Amino acid sequence: MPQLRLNQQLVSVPDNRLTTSLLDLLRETLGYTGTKEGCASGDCGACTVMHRDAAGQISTCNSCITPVGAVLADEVVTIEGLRGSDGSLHPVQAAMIACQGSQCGFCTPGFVVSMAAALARRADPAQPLTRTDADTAIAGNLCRCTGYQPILNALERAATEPEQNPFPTTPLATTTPLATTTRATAATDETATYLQPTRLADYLGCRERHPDARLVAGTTDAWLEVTQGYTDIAQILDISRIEELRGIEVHDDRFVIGAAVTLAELFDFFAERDAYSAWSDTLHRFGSPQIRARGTLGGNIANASPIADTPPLLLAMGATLILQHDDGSTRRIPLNTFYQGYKVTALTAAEIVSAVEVPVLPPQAQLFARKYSKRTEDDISSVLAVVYSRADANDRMLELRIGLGGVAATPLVVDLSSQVTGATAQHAVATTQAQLQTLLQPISDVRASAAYRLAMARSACAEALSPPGLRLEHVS
Amino acid sequence: MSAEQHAGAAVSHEAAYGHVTGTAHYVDDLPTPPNTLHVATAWADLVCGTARPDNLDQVRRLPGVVDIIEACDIPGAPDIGAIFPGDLLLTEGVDFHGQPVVAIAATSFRTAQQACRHVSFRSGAAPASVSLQHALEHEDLVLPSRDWGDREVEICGAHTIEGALLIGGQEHFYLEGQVALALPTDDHGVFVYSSTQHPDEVQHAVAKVLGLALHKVTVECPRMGGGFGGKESQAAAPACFAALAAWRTGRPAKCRLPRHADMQQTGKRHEFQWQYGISYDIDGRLLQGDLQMHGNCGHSPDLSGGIVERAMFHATNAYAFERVRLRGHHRRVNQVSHTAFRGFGGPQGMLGIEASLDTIAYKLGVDPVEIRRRNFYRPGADTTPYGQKIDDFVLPELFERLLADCDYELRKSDISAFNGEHEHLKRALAVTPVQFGISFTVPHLNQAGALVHLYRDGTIQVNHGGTEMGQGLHTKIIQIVAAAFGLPLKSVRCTATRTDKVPNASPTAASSGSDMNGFAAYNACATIIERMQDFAREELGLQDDLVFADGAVTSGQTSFSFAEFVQQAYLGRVSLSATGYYATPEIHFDKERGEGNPFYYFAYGAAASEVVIDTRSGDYRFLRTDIIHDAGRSLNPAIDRGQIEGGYMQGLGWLTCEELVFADGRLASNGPANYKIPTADMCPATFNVTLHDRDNAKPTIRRSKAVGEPPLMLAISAWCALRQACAAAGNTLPHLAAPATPEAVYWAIQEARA
Repeated sequence: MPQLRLNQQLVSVPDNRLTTSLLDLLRETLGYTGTKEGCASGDCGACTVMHRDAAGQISTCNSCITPVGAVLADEVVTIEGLRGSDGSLHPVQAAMIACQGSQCGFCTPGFVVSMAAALARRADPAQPLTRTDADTAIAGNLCRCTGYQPILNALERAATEPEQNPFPTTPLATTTPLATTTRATAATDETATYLQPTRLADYLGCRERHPDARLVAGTTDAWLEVTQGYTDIAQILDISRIEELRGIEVHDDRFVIGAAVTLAELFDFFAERDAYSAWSDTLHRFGSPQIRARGTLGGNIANASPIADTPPLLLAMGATLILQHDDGSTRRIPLNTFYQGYKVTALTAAEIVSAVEVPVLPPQAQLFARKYSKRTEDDISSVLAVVYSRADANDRMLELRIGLGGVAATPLVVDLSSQVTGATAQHAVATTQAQLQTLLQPISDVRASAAYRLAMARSACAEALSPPGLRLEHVS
Repeated sequence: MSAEQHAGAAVSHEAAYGHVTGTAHYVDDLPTPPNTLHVATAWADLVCGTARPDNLDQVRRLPGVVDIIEACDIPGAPDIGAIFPGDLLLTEGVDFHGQPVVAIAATSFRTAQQACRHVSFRSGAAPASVSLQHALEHEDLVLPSRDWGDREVEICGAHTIEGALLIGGQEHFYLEGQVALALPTDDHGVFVYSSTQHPDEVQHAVAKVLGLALHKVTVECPRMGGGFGGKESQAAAPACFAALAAWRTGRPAKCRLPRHADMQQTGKRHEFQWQYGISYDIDGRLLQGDLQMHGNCGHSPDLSGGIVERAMFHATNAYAFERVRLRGHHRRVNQVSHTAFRGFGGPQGMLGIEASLDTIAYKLGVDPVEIRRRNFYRPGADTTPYGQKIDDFVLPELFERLLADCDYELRKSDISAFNGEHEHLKRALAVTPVQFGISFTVPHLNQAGALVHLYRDGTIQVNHGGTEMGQGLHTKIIQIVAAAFGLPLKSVRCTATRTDKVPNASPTAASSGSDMNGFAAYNACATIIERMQDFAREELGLQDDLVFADGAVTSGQTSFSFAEFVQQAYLGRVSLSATGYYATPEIHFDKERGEGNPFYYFAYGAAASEVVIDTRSGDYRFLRTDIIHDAGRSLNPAIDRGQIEGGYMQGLGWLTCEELVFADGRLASNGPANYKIPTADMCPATFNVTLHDRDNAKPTIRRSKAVGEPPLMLAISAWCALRQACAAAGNTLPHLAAPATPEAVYWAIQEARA
């Protein structure tokens, strides 16, 4: 029977539970009721648990939208596993009590886990925590009682305490190695419910033997079918751990980003590259820390949501997808021909996205992104507008592409390079705005009106091509 | 610390350890017997009309399905309306989208939910009242209108404003959804665990649907994961579903609403239209007002009578009109029946007058702060439109203190300079006051009971009619009881609210929890202390009054440890258990005429909020908020501060990012993915909260004041600041929708610039 490494113990999990939510396993089967269900959709953080992967990376996830099988290769810690072996409180727990960080207490375990994880993965614990760091640490956790101030205070207080890592120094060894049930030999195991190949060759084997297994690459969207639609998924093929899909290659002219790179990893990659602040700014507001830790670039692309946040960036930059066929072959396709209609793509049933080639920004090129939403943190874009522009030494336009989310049935790119070649920025703005007015026909829905969406698409172009000024988030 | 200081001390929440370790149990965490059933409900995709399930025989045969309950299966009466009728399951037509038609009990939560998705309906749509606007046009009401004050008002003269402000509703979004667990008892009764602010009402509702006498039904609320008014009347339905399934099958049954069902099936804060005609003089003093509150009640009244009433009570906030007419209308819309939410109509009433004062200030070119100052109640103009004389009006003093503390004048000029220098960013600072009436406006609810048990080791259990939803009520009660007996807090335990311990309890609502239950608990302690005094005098010959302090009982030179003394009293056959009771004095009100003294006292506060907007998008940030709030002589400054900060942020959500969207009568904002409550980054970068620490003029428990609801309305300052920032981007003070989403701010900027 597969085993889950939970709170420093080995827990046997029946095969048929691998395709159910981790939260349900914790609460219903194991009696770990400290982890709460607030929404069952990955939006509130009450079910947050932390996990450490084989490489030692500590993350959090929403256990409500995480299948049990997805974390078998990791070690998991819930609120019940945070106290020391002597029962002593974790510094975050003690600080939450001292700072009045709980009122009704229902969201509290999720906050405590998020905060403890944020502290445990700090690169330099000696560095004081900024307010932005603190906001980010708990951006995926909703509290309806406290108004957050005492929780922020508690995090600040706990950050000054000696670090306390709730994971053991060396991971527990599982008696039934994961490899035998869910990994390398999964392709030959007819009864496996959760297939999580780590090599492309194994993946291809899984596809051959289990053609009906549901493909997932993070489940941050797919799992809503389970928790909101109440459909059961009998067999899952999880492609998020395939090593060949996990890397980022840096070439002189392009980045080749594996489809299974998580949004958190992508953020870390771009955060180190100043010219790509449009990426890091957007990814910083992509879902929540819990979502970014599980969601993958490939999933965000292939899911084909018109309000996905990475496609507009990739479209504006002229990215190309590499598709992996079940027969072992690959093909390349420009992203701007990939989206063919609402949730319809150029992928065939025998293909997955395996990587994305992103051209590096040439000299003089600028990448600008603006996300418009009702709430800054953890909200779906009403509009995401990305402006790629390149000008010559005299500030005359050479290239202008606008990637857009939330304005059509698919992510969209508007390439105005030919219309604005040689134009000044000011003229380019006028041209662009006129073009967008004609081209875009957004809809009104729960997030924004059509008129606002159009206005924001236009506003972003004007802002992108104007000299930068003081930004809203920097006003103090 | 001396025991006496325990009441008034900033101690942490009594369950904080349980919260942070995940060991505090909520209803869904309680261990359940293995044969427990799970109940879910099915509804038709219809806003208004008729719907009958047409495949129940098929659904009944699904694996795991144990029972299907229709309205005709209810042994008692189907009506569970708190005050006005409202049916548990469909008996006649569908009145809103999401209305439960059948309930299905199955062996697991998922099985029950899945079975509900198999139910198909024969349905027929009927014309619906799909919006407040529709209801306004069609004079569609759930209750007769109220007309108070001066009917002869005339809005005329050189200075008048008139118009209407549409104020959105609000989803409670308690993190713990509605849930109940019912266990059949061996004497043909039922025991129900319910996450509810009103166990008594759940007891009544369950008894009613099962056709049982009240003594057959016991309800316990261990604690709630948030309530905010949403578990006052709304908790009855899940409890009744669980109880019905338990009653019919003889098995334990749980009903937990998944978030999407919770959002669709439970009432929300009422949307209001605040319609006004106001005349004022050249100095901006309010002359006459004709104010109408149109509440969107949903399809049935639920608590709407009281909510529209409170909107009327607070429609003039802290300001004196020469003459004012107040009308309240209860509009019927085919939506879920809207319900109590922190402030209970008060916030909607108050937002309108604050918006109007800003309009007047901008028209006259007077600082909005000065306009407010000029209109506060004052000697000679100190009676509310409903005839209550305002005494102990601490607001002017508190308001001036806030202006000084927050550097109002200096910052105004800084802001003006900033706005001159920045084309796209505009800042604004607005200050608004709150005057909130404390008491249930239904007089009989203003009573409370408590039960105090002393055990022979000197420890105490206290139980009271109030429920714990995070507001720290149990903590305050423990402090009150510990202080009465001079004991450390750990000697006192507050046990879960139960209808078999304190009967006939009022809802924990109207901010009254600690005022009423605190006093009731104190009175119970006083009864026991009196018995102890008599015992000491008569049996122990101790003539000096007993002093309870520091864990000891002392009379003159004689001293016992508390436990010793309790043991002595027990051996002396003194009853060590007592009930306590409290009824709020001095309140009376004639609803028809709109006259009387509905409130025992008022709680006051004021907030100064500074915002910055980006005129290109309408996006904004909250830079700084300063609050001074009057909690009387605080029972627990830490808990009161938590209520103030949390209330402010909840109000901020209501007025900014939280937008209820209905599309063709169907709730489109039906989950946290599209209904956004505030996140941590929205908490102002600088957030100063000060208690205006002084005695309540009324002899409330330890001279404290209620603190649950009033701070929510402090967030009106942030909405006013956003509107003023829009004005700074243009030439006029524009209309601004509530909630002021970035989109709403964007359109307001366009209007200001037009």
